[in-house]
Amino acid sequence: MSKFKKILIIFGIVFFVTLGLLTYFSSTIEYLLLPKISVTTIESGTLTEDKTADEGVYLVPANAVIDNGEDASFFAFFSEDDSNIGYVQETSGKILNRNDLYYELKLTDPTVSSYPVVYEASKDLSNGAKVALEAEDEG
Amino acid sequence: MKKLKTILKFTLLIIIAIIFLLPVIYMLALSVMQSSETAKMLDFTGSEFKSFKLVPDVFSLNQFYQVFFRRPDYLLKFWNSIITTVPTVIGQVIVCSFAAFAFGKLKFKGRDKLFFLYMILLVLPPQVILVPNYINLGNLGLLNNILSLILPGMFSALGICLLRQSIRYISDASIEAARMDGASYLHIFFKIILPQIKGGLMTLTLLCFIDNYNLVEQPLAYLGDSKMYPLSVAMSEIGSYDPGIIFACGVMFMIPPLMIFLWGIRDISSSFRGSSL
Repeated sequence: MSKFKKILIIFGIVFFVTLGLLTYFSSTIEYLLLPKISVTTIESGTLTEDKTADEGVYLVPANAVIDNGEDASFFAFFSEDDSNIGYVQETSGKILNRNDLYYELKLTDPTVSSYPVVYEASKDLSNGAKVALEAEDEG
Repeated sequence: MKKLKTILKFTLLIIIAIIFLLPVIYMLALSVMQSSETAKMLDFTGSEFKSFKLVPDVFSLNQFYQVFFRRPDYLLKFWNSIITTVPTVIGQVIVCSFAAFAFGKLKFKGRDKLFFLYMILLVLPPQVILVPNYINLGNLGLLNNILSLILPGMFSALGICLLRQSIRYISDASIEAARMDGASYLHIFFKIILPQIKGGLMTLTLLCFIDNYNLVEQPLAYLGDSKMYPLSVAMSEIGSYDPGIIFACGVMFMIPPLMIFLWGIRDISSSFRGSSL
């Protein structure tokens, strides 16, 4: 067997074994590399005691909110198969009121209120990013 | 004058070689560009002229990182391609070599007519037999099963024609001599025929591998579950939403057939020369 063929065999073995290992451990590798998030649920309500919440007004934890002045945004977590791997979607709302713990937001899309909200992430998140759910608070 | 002719000849050959190699070079160049740069180059929505660039602004292996570490589905689809192609190639080489031996060296009634009928299959485009195959596979209960890609792929008129041509170069005298010494047809096939058609077998292996490795219509027709699709199908879809990754996938996809080609490069170049004892 020529030296070239020997090199080709070694390359082939290395190539297929590497791809085999990467495929076999792909779920583990993917999980390790995904941003880990902690989520909590949000509820309808206001920060004013004697006022009931209008439709689409929710209290969002302050540590989940990105304050943009008059408006604020936060990330909601979606999982297609109810697993702890899913995607985040950036959602915005108008700031009605705020205190140290909560923001009172009038959501542009109130349907996202049924999804948990990200209040902590191991890496910077972007809209549509794939993430792994690490902790879930009941709110 | 002779020197000028040689220079012209080589210049022409180099230009042709570059034209043929350009898509591969372009794919390699784009695979080491940043996704944003690739997407910008492939965005033809503005119908403006796009500059042809082979050197990236910023060298980046991010596309390979995405394919190998962040998108396991592409690795799984790569293995789907291998799992469907390798058994098909093995099956086709076995079936075609036996059939070619029969058509090339055995004498039986209606041999040439049967071969002619078989050759008609050569001129039929694969799309024509897609629906009959679909019905047959459905009746066999093989739809949505990788066997629906492997079994039809094992029978190739082109492979038989190619190997028959190689076998015909082998002298009848050597086969008759072996028969007189009491060798069976199976013995003749393994000891006399196969060693002499190595080039044809290697060519058939490469052609069959490329043919089945690049299947798109058949998996779409026979497989309902997109998780079973080979990378060839996935690559036609990736380009629409993630143009960056398609080039890294292309590089990964290119390696197995390239390895087969390099392995048998000498045998392939000699496959049509023929040989005889």
